[in-house]
Amino acid sequence: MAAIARGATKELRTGRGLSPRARVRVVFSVFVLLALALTGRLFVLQVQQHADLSRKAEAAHLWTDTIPATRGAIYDINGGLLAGNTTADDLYVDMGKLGSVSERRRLADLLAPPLNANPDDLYITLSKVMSGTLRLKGNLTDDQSVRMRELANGWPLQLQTHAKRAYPNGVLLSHVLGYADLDNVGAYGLEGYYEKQLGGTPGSSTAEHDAMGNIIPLGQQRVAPPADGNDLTLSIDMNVQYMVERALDDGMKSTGAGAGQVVIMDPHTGAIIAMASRPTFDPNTYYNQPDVSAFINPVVNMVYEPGSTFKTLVWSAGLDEGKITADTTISEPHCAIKYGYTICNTSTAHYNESPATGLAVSDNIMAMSIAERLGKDDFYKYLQNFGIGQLTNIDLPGEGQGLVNQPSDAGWGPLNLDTNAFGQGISITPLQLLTAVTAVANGGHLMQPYVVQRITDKQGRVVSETQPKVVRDVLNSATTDVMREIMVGVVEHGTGVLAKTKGYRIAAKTGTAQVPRPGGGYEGSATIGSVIGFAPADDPRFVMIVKLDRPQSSQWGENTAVPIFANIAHQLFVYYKVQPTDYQP
Amino acid sequence: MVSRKDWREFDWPLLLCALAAAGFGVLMIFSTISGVTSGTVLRSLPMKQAIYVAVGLVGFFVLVNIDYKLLMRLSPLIYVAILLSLVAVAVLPQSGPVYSPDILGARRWIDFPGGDIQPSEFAKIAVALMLAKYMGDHINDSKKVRFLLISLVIALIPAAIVFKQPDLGSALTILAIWLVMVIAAHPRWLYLGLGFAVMIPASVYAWNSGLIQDYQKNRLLAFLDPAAPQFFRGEGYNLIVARSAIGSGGLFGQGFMHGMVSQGGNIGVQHADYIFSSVGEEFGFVGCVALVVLLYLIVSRCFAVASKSKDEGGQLLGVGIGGMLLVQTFVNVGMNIGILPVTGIPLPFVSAGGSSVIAILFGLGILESVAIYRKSGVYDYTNYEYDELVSPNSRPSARGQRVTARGR
Repeated sequence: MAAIARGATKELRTGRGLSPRARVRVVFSVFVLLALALTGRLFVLQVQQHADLSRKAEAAHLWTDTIPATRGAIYDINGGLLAGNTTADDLYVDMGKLGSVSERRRLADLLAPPLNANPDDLYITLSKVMSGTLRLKGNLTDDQSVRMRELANGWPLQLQTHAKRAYPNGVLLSHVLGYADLDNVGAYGLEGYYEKQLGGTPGSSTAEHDAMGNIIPLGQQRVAPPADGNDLTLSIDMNVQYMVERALDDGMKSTGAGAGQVVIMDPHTGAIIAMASRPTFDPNTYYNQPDVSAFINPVVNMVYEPGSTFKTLVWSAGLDEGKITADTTISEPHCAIKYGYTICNTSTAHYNESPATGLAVSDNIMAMSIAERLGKDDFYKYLQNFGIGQLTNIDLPGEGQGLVNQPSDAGWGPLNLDTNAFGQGISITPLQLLTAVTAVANGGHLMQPYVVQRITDKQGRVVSETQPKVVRDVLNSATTDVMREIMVGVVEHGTGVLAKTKGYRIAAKTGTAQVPRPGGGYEGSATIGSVIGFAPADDPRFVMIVKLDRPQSSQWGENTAVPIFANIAHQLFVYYKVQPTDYQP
Repeated sequence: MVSRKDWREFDWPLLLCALAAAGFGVLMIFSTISGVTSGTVLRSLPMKQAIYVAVGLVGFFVLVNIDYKLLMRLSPLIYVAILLSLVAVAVLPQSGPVYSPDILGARRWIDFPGGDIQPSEFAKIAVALMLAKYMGDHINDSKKVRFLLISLVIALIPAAIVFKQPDLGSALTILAIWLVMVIAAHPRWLYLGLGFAVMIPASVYAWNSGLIQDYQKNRLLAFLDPAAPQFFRGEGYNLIVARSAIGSGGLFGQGFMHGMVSQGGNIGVQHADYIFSSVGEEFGFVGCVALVVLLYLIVSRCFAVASKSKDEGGQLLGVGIGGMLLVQTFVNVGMNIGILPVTGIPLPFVSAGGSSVIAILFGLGILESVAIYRKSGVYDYTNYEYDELVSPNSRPSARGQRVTARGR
């Protein structure tokens, strides 16, 4: 600037006569100033802000868009779709483009009917924010999406489509399936357990963008394609599952039970064919459940006191160890005093009973007698071998382990052996008991239960196939032969008589367990009625457990759970085309 | 008119610095595209740039051997030819053997079989030449309004056409060349000041009337607040990343071909307008200052040639071309380091682009001609104030010695 001043004072009449250096001087002084500005700024950026900007550079380095992977589908054993993918729209409002108060009022009135919302509430929402983008509603229905697209001509509405999990059968198998949340991440059930398989790996695209943020079509671009999730094929048969759920609903209605579970397993493989629980939820609208406990699968996740169904295992152990035989007669009083406690049978006194009669009437005293004959070591060894109090390692999340006090535990006393013999003082999951009884049904092999039969990738290639797995052999086949007859007797002329079916031999054991109070002791009249069994007895196609919590119509399992068991068994005979024994073609 | 070449006056530092800068440019372009895994067009850029430099050097030596006074006389013709080529960019079809493509909403190029040229780059040199001719011839009128207005019109016509392409950066560069040359011609400062006073309402009008396009406005707004959400994916993004890349270079840089951002292809057109950010990332503060110093050396050699020239035309041409390089360097680097808004101005010699480097080398060729032909001819030196004697054989003994000559 000094140069300009000097030039000005010189003030020649014309531009001629000026020294060339003087001409350059003004521009040159600017030149020096600019150089100082650049150097100063470079110093600030590269020396003073170096650390901070390095971090930013790192963040900018990976400017990528995520390409979501397609979530794997879930099919039943016959290829029926249990969980698939669809799309849903979310509704956004560009608040900055929304004008005056009256305009907001008008939009609220327009949006309220299709969104089933109160126009006044909507107006308040729309008036709160003046800029940015507001997510007004997620997961629009198809009708809502169509209407919102119409309104988007003229209103600053935006619809963003995203992948959404769909469960075409609604509540069917919901506890086993779990759900995928709004971000398409699995929770509970198979969706949670197999999240890695189903979810796949999202891909990414790094692309050159022009000054407006658009991808330059011929620019540099790096795309890592997503690895889509794998499909699951379950051992579940959707048809059986449907029958089971309907029968359970009917049974719950007629008994007034608060909750109920049914599980059906293939005794030869350990494959779960059906697994139902009530109350249930619809995974399509999981977010409407006020309480997350609705998502817990009681069959796998919750423990209970099994009561008399547990005697099946005690009788089997006694036979297997030779402590009793089919012909043994046991004389016991109606009530027995054990360690200061009086334990009674629920029916009249039985004398000179066979084990078959004892199980048919569910004799508690005989159960204690057999347990005492086994002795605590063998008794608990057998429970251990049956997998009681242990995880079955089924491919479902959050499995409950239950609790069996062992003689070596501090909490164990000699009375435990007696009460455990008729299924009290232990806690197990319904699945544990079912798996244990499967060993009785299939000749003595404890099977590993499973739900997923096969995992395939999107090209249909098999990633893994579940092979039936024998965890251990628990019983001799001679034992199971005798047990089969004893359990058939329970249905033919015992507590399971309501399941008695002409032409079919059904093996079962009923149970009526008292509900333990948290502080110790038992609730007054509340019971858990259950039945466990298999059919046809000589070549079982299925093992089934039915369990009802707090039935109102009767406190006895033989009156509440057994009819449901029979109902399902009859349908399965038809479905599996099991011929009756007296069938004459 | 007698023309006499004197190769001893050839300005070697100017040529050597230019070669160094252009060679460094080829290396940097190679570095910025090495991270690219797709797009064969980009991968051929360094080789193409080397060829452009060679073409520019051929033109440079041809022009050195032509007396610049001839070019001065031809400058109206050159000026009109350039205007026609600028018009051609606008009127040529968008396809065909010779056409003007629309690239990202701008039509700045003439494509023909075998290559493409960007006439606006050559327009800068042509305008400098035309202004040097006019101002040199009318230096006696430099205090008059007419001098300012006519010279402004000379610059304004091509600037307006270029602005409509749209290419705000080149248009502003052309106007900057005029401003630098007018300052060197020493007008009446009052008039120049009044002119700028008029510019303020004019620019408000231009902003509001739609003359300045939305993307240009956004660039300015993004410059003021690059992190604003509406700019994050667009104008602001490149600014932030370029600034981060430069800052991450630190004192000595991450090393040639080792810039994380540069190699990651995270900045759009990094080989072109944003190449300085790669320099900053890979060579650090020291490298940046060295490059700026190198470019400044070239500018100062231009000024040196100008100040040694014995006629106003040569002096003004030197100031014009030097000024052009200065403005482009400052605006481009300033944009990269966030002290100026984004305008698509290439970094002289270094940015990828044939027309830019070729036009600049042509300009330097003409300037070298000014250097070696400056002692020829007889001019009216009445009232001139010289630092040096006219005589080729004697050096000035004292500053401010007055020499008077008459002739022509």
